[in-house]
Amino acid sequence: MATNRKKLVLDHLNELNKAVTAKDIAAALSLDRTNISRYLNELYKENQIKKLPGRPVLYQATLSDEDTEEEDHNKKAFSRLIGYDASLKEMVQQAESAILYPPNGLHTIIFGQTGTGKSLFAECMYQYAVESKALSADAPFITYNCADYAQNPQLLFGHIFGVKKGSYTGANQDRTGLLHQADNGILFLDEIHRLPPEGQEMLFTFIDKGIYRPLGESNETYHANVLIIGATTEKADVLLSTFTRRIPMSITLPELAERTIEERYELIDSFLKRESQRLNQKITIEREVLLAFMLYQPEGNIGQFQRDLKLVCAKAFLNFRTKKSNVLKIDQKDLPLQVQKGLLFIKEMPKSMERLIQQDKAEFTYQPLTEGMESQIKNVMNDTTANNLVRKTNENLLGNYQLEGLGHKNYFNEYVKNLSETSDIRHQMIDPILKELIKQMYRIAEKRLNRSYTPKIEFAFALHLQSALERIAQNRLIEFPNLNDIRKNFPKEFQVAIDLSAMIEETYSIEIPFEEIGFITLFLTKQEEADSIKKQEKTTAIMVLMHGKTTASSMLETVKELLETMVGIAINMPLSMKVQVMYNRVRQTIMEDKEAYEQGLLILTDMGSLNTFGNMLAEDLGLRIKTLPMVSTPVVLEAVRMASIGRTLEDIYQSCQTVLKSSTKQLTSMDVKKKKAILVTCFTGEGVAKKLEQRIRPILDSDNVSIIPLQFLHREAFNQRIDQLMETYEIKAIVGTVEFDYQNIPFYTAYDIFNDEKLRLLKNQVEEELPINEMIQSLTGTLNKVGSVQQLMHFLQKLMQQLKNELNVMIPAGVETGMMLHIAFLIEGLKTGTILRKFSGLDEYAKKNRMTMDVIKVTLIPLEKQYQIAIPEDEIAYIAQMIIENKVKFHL
Amino acid sequence: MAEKTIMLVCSAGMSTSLLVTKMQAASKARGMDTDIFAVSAAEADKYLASKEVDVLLLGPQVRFMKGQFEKKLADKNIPLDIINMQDYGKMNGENVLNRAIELMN
Repeated sequence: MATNRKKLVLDHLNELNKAVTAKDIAAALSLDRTNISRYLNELYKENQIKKLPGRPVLYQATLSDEDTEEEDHNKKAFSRLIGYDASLKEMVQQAESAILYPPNGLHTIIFGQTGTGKSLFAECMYQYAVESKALSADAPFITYNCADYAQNPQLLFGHIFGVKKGSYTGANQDRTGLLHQADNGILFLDEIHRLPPEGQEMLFTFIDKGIYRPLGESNETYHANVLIIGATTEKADVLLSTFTRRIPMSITLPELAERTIEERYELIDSFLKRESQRLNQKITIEREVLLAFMLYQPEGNIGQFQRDLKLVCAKAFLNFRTKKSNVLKIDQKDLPLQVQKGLLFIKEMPKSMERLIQQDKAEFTYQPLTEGMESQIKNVMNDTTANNLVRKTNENLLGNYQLEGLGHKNYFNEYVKNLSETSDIRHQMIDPILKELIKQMYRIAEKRLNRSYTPKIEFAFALHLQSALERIAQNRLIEFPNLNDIRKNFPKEFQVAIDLSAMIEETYSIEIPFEEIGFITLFLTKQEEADSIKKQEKTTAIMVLMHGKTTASSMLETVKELLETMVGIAINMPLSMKVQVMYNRVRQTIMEDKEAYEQGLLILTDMGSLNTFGNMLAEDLGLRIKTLPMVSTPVVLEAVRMASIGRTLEDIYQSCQTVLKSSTKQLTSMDVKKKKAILVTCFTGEGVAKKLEQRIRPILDSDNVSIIPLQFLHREAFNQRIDQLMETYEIKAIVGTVEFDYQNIPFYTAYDIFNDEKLRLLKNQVEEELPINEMIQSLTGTLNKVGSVQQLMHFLQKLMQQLKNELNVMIPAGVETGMMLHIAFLIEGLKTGTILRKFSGLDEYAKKNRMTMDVIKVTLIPLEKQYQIAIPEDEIAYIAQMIIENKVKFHL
Repeated sequence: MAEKTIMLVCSAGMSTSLLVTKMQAASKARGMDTDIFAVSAAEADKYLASKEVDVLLLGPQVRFMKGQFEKKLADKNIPLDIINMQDYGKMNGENVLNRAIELMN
């Protein structure tokens, strides 16, 4: 019965051959709409029909796939712009609509300071036009800089509009202009404000009427179908108003300072990779160099930024050449002064940067990438190592080993391709129907709430919804404790959430419980909330309380003078004053301006009863207060400095404690070793958090690291919970759906965690350091044939790192320790000739794991050379086994 | 015959042999009568058949064999564990011996 009806629906759709809603079909076939929705979804899952985004959802028989293909294409043109989906998102949307606007697109002017990428942006617009078929594939894209010939208006005019024979001395024949050449395409006029008045007038005529007259032509007018894109460094209000009036679309590109920190990092990353490609040379840069580039303020925006990068690369290249050293390294001393100044901002470094730049690394390397694969693979395996591997294998350094079958290049390409396909499982995780639904939902939410959401949130929400659907199917409900508050505080979002849940209900033919709507509301509010947290208007209050007539005030005065700030209040307690009097005075001071203490108060004291004020005041006045005793000027300095740049109470407290600790080391050295933990959070504490746990668990040594799921509903409550946990655990990271900055704990989004590269970062951050020094100590005196044990172990550590990279595997730290010891003893054994054992089934094993064995062999060649040994095939197989069998596997 | 027998297993039985020496020293210092020895994974079966083993410890680099050994030891009631990474790296005989004793009790 049901299958028949389903067939009926399909047939009906095939017949219609146009997009219709579930309701239409229900009416046409006189069937129940809910059932129709279900059939439609099933048919969609079976790829028999397609869905068109929008509300209500339209369904159509799959006869042609053009639409979906086009949509894919659309993304390509602008995706080469770093930040196309972040700071440039709005501009890209504007550009897209300018190109697609019927019938022939909108003339556009691009505003932006020098070096913001106006020309590149125009190029992308052209590409987009071709990709979206607004222009034909062979459409011309002509660029012209109006500053050329600006001093000779006639020449410039002729250049753009063409010249009629005899119009001026030397014009011996007719010449076509750029407008003619750009017919049916795009003419890009850079520095359009330099166009002389005559040119402007003619351009306007062209814009208004589509006609123009070449120089010297008096009668005839010419037609051309050209989309004009102009660019200027001038501000919109400086430029002739006639200009802005005639050119309907104006796009303003942001300065570098307005770009996100992630984008800046990507700029550096992609530039250095390209540069290393060009030089065919690995580029190493010092941590300070990277930091300086992240933080300095180039006057000429991205253009200047890239010139500076290029300059330091060139300097480093020169050193590299003349000194014949084998690394191309960029030192801090190579930096231009302006870039070096970036290091001055190191203290104000945004916390998000700590996530981008690994904290314990002193150097960063950039390697050439294989051509054409850049977009696919990052850091998986690079051309040079692959080539080296092939070359070395070919040179037969290994004696008896040969690659069979596939050509070498293919062999590695295949391998790399496989890796890249497995490396991003984010897309496979989400059911396509759900993905589509989420996309639609966010599109609607963005429109109705007039804000934008990042792919990260969409992904987090997708994860949440996936587990919510499971929950609902199993009829397990989650309490939402303060649903009414949510409804009161976010009425708009709540309304949208209700409508969105109706969409979910329709797609999945289920009923969404009221509680779930609360969660959906939170996903819609999230960003706004996060923003308001970051842009904290009021600063944390700082109060200095000390014994003595002027101690507190003079200390604070010094600090205020140093920092040129007004933050902070000092209250002196002369020795004759009674404690109670002092307390009342402090209390009175706070009461006079209670609002100023909303962000919390840090009390800095010297000693005695003053230390107890904090707790009493907190209870008395209901404020968040922390107290630091035994304070000296440097601590006050740090506290006031941080407060004046808007850091939170917790941050400041933490930071000041570090200052205190470093000045009084002995006092705090009795820290007990706490167990490490990772917090996984989501709104429910079980849906997404569980998924995250599943993903993280396999990479960690479960004996040493706890994973704690935590519900996140209120930031304040969450902070408190973390404070509690910190007494028992050393919290190494927080992973979750809600961006979270607290106590400098590194934060990873759910989105990050499903990227292997980021996951590895997390593992490194959490995992115990290899006990390398202890290993050296314990082996010294035991190994006699290897020379310096220290040298050997550091060598082995490097090789293990290389192996992990080349094989793209993660192995537990314990295994790594074990393997290093194993190899150390293996060398000793080979040198004394006591190692002679067989790996049973070697041939078979070697064939099956050819790639791994190859990489191991090649990686260990330097070891063989250094210690003048030959590692037998059997031992290579044993090492391969340790890696293959112990590597971290993901279950999802 | 010794009172307690502790068997350590690693890939080739080399790196654990150093640990054995340290464990033996620790055991002796406490006046305990123990038989501690290291074997390669390949030899393990032979020793299990011929010796009364009280506890078996695996080097971290062969932790993947844990499952195999668990099966082999299932009916023998011999406890099994992977040596802690820090202790292994430091060749801390004292700690590993403690862990072995803990497992036997």
